[in-house]
Amino acid sequence: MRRIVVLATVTVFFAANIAVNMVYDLTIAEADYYRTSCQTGSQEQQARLTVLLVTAHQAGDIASRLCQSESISKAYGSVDVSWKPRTQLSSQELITEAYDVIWSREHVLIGLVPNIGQYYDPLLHFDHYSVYWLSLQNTPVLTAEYFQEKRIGLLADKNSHTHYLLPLESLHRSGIASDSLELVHFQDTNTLYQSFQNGEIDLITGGSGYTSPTPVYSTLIDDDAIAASFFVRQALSNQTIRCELIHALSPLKSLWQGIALHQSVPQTCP
Amino acid sequence: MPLTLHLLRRYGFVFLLASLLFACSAVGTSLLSARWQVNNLMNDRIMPGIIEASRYSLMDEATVVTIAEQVNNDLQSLSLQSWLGTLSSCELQLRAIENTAIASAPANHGFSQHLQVTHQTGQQDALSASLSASFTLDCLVAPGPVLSMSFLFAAFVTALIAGLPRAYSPQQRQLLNVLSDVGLEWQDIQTVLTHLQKNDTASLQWYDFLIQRIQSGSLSVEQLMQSANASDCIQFHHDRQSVSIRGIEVPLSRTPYFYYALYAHQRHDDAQRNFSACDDNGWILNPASGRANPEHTRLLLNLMKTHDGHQKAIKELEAHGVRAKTMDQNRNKVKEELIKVLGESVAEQYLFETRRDSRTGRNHYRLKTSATKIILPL
Repeated sequence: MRRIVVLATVTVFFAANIAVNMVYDLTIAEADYYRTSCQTGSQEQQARLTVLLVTAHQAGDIASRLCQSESISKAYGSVDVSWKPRTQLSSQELITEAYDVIWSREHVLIGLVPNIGQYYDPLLHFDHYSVYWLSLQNTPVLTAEYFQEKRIGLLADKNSHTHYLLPLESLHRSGIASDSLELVHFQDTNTLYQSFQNGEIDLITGGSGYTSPTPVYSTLIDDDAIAASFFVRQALSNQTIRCELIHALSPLKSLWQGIALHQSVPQTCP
Repeated sequence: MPLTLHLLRRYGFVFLLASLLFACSAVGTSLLSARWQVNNLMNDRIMPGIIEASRYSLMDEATVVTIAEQVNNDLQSLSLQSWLGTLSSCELQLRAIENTAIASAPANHGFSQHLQVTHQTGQQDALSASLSASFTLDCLVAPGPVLSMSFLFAAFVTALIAGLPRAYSPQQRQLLNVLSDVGLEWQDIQTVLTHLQKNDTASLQWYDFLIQRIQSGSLSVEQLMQSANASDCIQFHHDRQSVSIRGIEVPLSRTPYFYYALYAHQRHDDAQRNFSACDDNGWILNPASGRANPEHTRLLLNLMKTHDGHQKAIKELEAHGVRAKTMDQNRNKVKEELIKVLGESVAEQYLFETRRDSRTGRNHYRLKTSATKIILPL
C-alpha cells in the first residue's frame, strides 16, 4: 500500500513537472519566403519599389542592385522583389498596380485585365523564340513508337510554355496520347535539367538558349513561342528609374539568351 | 548519532535524487516538447513555405541561399511559451536545403539539437516528390525556474516518503494476517510488528517460527507479546535450567543446561577480559582422554552444586573431571532440545560452532551467539 501511494504521488508530481515545463506553443511571424527586401538607405522616402519575377533566380542580386542605385534611393525607401507563384497573380493586383514591375507573358496579363495597356507599359519586350524536343540519345521523332517507354520530363507548373504547354501540345498535334506515356513532373527547372543530363529522363523540351555540356539531339516544336516580357507601371514614368530597372534586371540575361530584345525606353539608358 | 543527523543522511539522499530526477525531466521535457513544436512548425509552415518559394524556379545555389535568407529572417521572430519558462530562449536556424549548406551565425552555446525534415512537395512523381532541409535548434535553459520547481517537488516527495509508515515485508504481512486471525488487537499487532522490523535473515527466520507456533496453537498471545518486547538475546536462568531466546523460554534438561551455561560463561567471560581484540574468543577445547581441564571442571561443579544439579553428574565430575565424551553428549542433547522447541533454522543461531586444533587434532567448540547477546545471572 505504501509503495502504491509513493509511486502514485511520484507519478503525479512527474506528470505535473512535465506539464509545467512543456513548451505548449511556438510561433514565428507570418511570412512568405518568395520575397526578398532591402533598404535603399534613404531617410526621406517611405515608398517601396515592388518587382514581381517568375523565379527566385538572381532575385537577391536584383534587389541589392536596386537598393544600391542612387536614382532609386531618391524615390524609394525600400525595394521588394517577389517571385510568388505566377498562378497567384490576380486581376485586382494589376488594377491596383500592386507591382511596379511584372515579369509575365502579355497574353496572360490581358487574360486577367483586357485593358492592361492602361496600367502597364512594356519595359523589356522579347520576340518569339523556338522550343525543341531534346534527347541525349538520338534525334526525337514525333511518333508514338518513338515516345513509347521513354521518360519525359515536364515542369509541374501548368502555365509553363516551354516545359508544360508546348510539349503536351506537340504530342497532341502528332496524335500521340499523352496519358499512355511516362510523364515525370518536376518542381523546378534545375532539377529537370539535371535529371536529363544524368540520364534519369530521356526527353525534355528546351528553348534555343538551352546549353548542354554534352551533345544534344533536337527536334523543333515551335519557332514562334511567346516569351515572357517585363512590364512597368505607366505611372512610373521616370526614365532614369526605368533605366535603373533595366540595368538591375541584367543578371537574368542568361535566361533570354537567343531571344531578340526590344528595350522600351529611350536610347539614353547607359 | 543525533536524530536530526540521522534523518538528514537518510532523507537528504532521497531529496537530492528526487531533485536531480525532477530537474532532468524538466529540462528533457522542455527540449523534447520544443523539438516537437518545431517539427510541427516546420511541417505546417516552414517547409510548405520553402516549397512554395522554390516551386518552378531555377534552383541554383544562389536561389537556395536567397530563399534560406528569408527563412532565417523569419525564424528570428521565433517565440515559445511554457508555464514555467524553463527555456529562456530558443534559436532555430536553417542549415541546409537539400545539399546546399547555408552560412549562418554560430549557435548560442545552449542545448543544440539537429533536425532533419523531409516534406512532400505534393507531386506524385518520385523524382521530385520531396524536399529535405536541415535545421539546428539551440535552446538556453533558465536555471532559476528549473531548480526552484525541482526542489519544491523533491521536498514534497521526500516529506511524503518520510511521513508514511514503513512498508511491511512479506513475512511481516503474513504475521500480521496470522495475528489478526487469532484475534489480536490492532494496537498489539502494531506493537509486535514495530518491534520486529528488522529484515535480516535471523529476524525473518524468527517471523517464520512465530507464525508456525501461533498457527499450531503452541504459542500464546502473552508469549508473543513478551517476545515482541524482548531484546534479541539469549538469557540463561541457572535456577530453573532454562534459556530465554527473544523472550521465548526454552526449558532444558538439567545436566545439558549446565554444559550449555559453561560455554556461555566462557564466551561471555573471555569477552569481559578482553581476551582477544577480535571476536576470536569463547572457545573451549575438547579435553584429551584422562586430562580434564581443571578450570572448566571447577566452574561446572560450582554451577551444578549451586543450582541443584544431578548428584550422579556431580559425582562423576568429581571423580573424572570434564570429559570429551560427556561434553559431546551434552552439546548434542542441547541441540536436540533447542531444535525441538525453536526449529532447526532458529535454533542453529544459538548453538555451537567448531574449529579443529591443528596441533592436537581435537576440536574447539563455542556458542555462535556473540558475547554481547549473552545474558548470565549475576
